[in-house]
Amino acid sequence: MTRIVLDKLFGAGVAIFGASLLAFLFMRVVPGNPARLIVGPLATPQAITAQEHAMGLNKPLWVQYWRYISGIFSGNWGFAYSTGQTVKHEIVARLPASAELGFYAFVFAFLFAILFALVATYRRRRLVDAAIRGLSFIGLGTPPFWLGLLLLLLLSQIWGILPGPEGRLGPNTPPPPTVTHFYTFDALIAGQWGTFWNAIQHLVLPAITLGLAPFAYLVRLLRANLLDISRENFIVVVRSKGVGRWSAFVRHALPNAFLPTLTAAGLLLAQLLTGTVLVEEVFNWPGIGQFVVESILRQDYAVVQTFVLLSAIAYVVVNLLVDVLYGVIDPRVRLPVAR
Amino acid sequence: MSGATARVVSARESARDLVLEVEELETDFYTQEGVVHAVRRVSLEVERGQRVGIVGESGSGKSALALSIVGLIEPPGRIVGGTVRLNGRDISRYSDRQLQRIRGREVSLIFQDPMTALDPVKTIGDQIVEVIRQHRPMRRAAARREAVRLLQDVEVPYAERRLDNYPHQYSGGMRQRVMIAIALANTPDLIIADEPTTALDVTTQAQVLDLLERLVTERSTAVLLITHNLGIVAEFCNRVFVMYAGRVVERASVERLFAVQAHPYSEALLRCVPRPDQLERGPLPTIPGAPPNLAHLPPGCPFEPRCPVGHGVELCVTTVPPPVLVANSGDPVLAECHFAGERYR
Repeated sequence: MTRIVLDKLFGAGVAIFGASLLAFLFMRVVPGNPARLIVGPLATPQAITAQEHAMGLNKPLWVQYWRYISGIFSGNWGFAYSTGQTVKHEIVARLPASAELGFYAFVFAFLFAILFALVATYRRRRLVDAAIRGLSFIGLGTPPFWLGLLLLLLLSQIWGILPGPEGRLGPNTPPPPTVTHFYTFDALIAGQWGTFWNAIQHLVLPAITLGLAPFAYLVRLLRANLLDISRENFIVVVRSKGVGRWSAFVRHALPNAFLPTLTAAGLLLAQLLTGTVLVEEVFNWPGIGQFVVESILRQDYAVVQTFVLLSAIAYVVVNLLVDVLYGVIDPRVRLPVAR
Repeated sequence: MSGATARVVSARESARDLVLEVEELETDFYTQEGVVHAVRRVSLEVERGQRVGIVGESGSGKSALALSIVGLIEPPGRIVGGTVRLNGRDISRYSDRQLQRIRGREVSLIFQDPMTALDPVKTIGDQIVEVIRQHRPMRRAAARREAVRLLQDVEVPYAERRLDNYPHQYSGGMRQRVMIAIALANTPDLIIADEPTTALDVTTQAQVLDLLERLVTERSTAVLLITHNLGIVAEFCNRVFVMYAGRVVERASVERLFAVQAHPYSEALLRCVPRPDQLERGPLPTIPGAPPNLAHLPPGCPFEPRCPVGHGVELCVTTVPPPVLVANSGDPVLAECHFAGERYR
């Protein structure tokens, strides 16, 4: 067992190291000079050199890399020149917004995927199944920003059911006291029901927009797995014990069909947590996606490097969690300790 | 079985104590090839505590029959006719909810392949407890103790410890013992065992069969044993039904069937059982040809193309043989062959 854990940890370390190296190198391979961008088009060569010195860009690459890595671990994530703030300040201000949106998008996608896959396969009604498959096709093929605009138009502009693109809260609602950086959680902790409701209302449309494609993907995967499993022998055996169709499905078919879905879900979660540019743009969401894109364009090394590394860590952590969950659900993954 | 004979026979048999009485049961499968008639108006009966064998080649509709009896035919299959009486009640019109109270309590199933019959992500204990608690109001702890007793009954060593193992930690033979434990958990009146030993190796087969025999004898449970192996029938059963192409073509006591076969198919089946004392050099005897396609049955006797007696005979080609009562001295033999009367002398 320790062997497996060590293997996994080693793999995680390699993944994070690789991601940091790639982020570092890509930024430097891209033509252009950040020092030049900072000091402006009219600066003298001396000023540029001075700026390069200040940023450490004249040092050999490996020294720069070492500074980056050791900075990450000592909590010094560098300075975002494009905004004039520390990288840490920017990320702490923006990442939670993206993470909260991603979290709810994932919850929406995951729960509805399970529900719809069960409905599609349970009664084997062709029409229902076809409808759900069609829906998942549409979900996979719809550009999220377009869907977001459409939803805003219908539900906010025309029907006025939900708030427009105001970001995380309405203009008259102050954020709750910070604990987790998720407004919904913080509002609950502070007991501010009004703020909680407001935050939820603002989350509904962007979460649906962001979660639709992962939902569609998971429905297709889970539906296929459920169909396979429900044809398995042991489902008939369970039914022959006097267990009802629904119980046999939920207690036996679903956990088995779940396994491949879990891996996919983990990857999707990690992806969603770290934000999506277009959806954030449409909903005026103060997330990290937009900021990172701008930083790439401005060659703001410190921001991009830190963000890539944090994303890599998020991926790795989520996948480790998936592996652990796998072991919980599927006994065959655990090593046979005793025979 | 059709018409008058069925009614005559079953009228006489209603006086006996029947656990299971199947009449004219019909199951079709709606496939792309057409409608496959897997079970074609099959009638059979099992007395309390009796052990009845159903023999036939693969594809003769045996497994579909087993599932039809307990109403577990899934689409594209459908039961299209007939009645099933269990302990005197007609369960063929029961809803699935009503059948759920019967399955696992009054009638249990044991399936062919123990490797795929257990849920791989649940412990053995949980899977036994499930069937106990499905039918008896019992606390988890009590049901677990009951499960340990059952595992001990089916001779799983270290039962208490192995209760929390998962199926992949059990061998095939052990898994089939678990299946027997699950089938016996609520002491049903009838166990339908569909090729219970076919997937096991030979030594394990004998052990599992002996175990099943001991346990059903102790509890006087009736068994409907579905098999292609006449050796097992000879060892285990009192009565035997020979199935061919979805029909019961001969019914007799085991002694009678092994002595004289009224149907040429029974005779051919019996000849295919290898006997070590009579083995000669050369290939083992087989029945030439294959069973008919159940979606496109011939107009006459379904065995005619392979039959050593009736092949090419006009009567056999054109007319489905009715059941013929060839012996009726308290031990009736019925066979669906135009020549059954002649052959049975």
